[in-house]
Amino acid sequence: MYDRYRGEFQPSLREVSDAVKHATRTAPSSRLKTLESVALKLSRQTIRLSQVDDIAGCRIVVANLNAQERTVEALGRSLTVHSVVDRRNVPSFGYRAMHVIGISSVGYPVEVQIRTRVQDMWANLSESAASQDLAIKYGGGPPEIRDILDRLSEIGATLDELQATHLSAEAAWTGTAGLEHGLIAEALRQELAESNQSVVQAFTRFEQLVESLSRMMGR
Amino acid sequence: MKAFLVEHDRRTRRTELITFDDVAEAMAVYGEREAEREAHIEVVLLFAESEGDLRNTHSRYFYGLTELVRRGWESDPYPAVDAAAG
Repeated sequence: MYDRYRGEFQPSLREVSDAVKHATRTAPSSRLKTLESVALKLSRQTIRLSQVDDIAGCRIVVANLNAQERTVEALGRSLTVHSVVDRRNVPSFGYRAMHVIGISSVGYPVEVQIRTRVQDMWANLSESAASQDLAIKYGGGPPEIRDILDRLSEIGATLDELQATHLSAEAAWTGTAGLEHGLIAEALRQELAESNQSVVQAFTRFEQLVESLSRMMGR
Repeated sequence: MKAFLVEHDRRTRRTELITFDDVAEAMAVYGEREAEREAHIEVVLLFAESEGDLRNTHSRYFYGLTELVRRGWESDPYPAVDAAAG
């Protein structure tokens, strides 16, 4: 029965996915929610199947926070938008992203996930861990794994912010083309170097935690 | 747009990928495989322009943890979105 119900969403998924592709010039991937996932969702929340708005889902990964915001704006101009969910500063069990619930021409909801590459890395790490223990997806699981995922989520958010700062510094530096010398150019060069160093340090911490997680999970 | 049926073994972490050009056929096989699967096998139907795009957005099915982070960090996904949104 669920298979038949899910199949009704496929044309809407294709329609919204194509609209996303043309609006953002990206190559989104998309999926129809598995029976296992929807059953887990229904068991955790007091909602009906007809209220599940991510039976059909589409995903884009963008470079950084600035691109993420501009992508959401572009989708707002191209889709019939039911709602926008911003989980960047209020994560769901560590998961950060922006979701746009679009409505197809025949009224079916399609969830569009817009993730930065850092947010996507975290999501894949978490889902990989959850494939061993489904409780991890909803904040449960072994405390030591939970702790690492929570710390990775925080460092990931910091990394995204530091990248945004670095891009601003880079833009300011680019704007001084022709001013290779002088106090302003030197200050901007220093700022650029420092922001780059901050990004590298944050990513190094991120990688080290991932290595710990990998050892813990035996991977 | 192609359809990709992913069968991922949670125990061995091996992934099998079947590519379909026909969506209706893919949907039929998806329903069958999902109904027959053992609990440790994930069966999911994904759609993408290419397997490469799929590996970028659903990396957990294809790579270990440290590799998916390395690949994610070294990617430069879709700078064209800046032009599209500009």
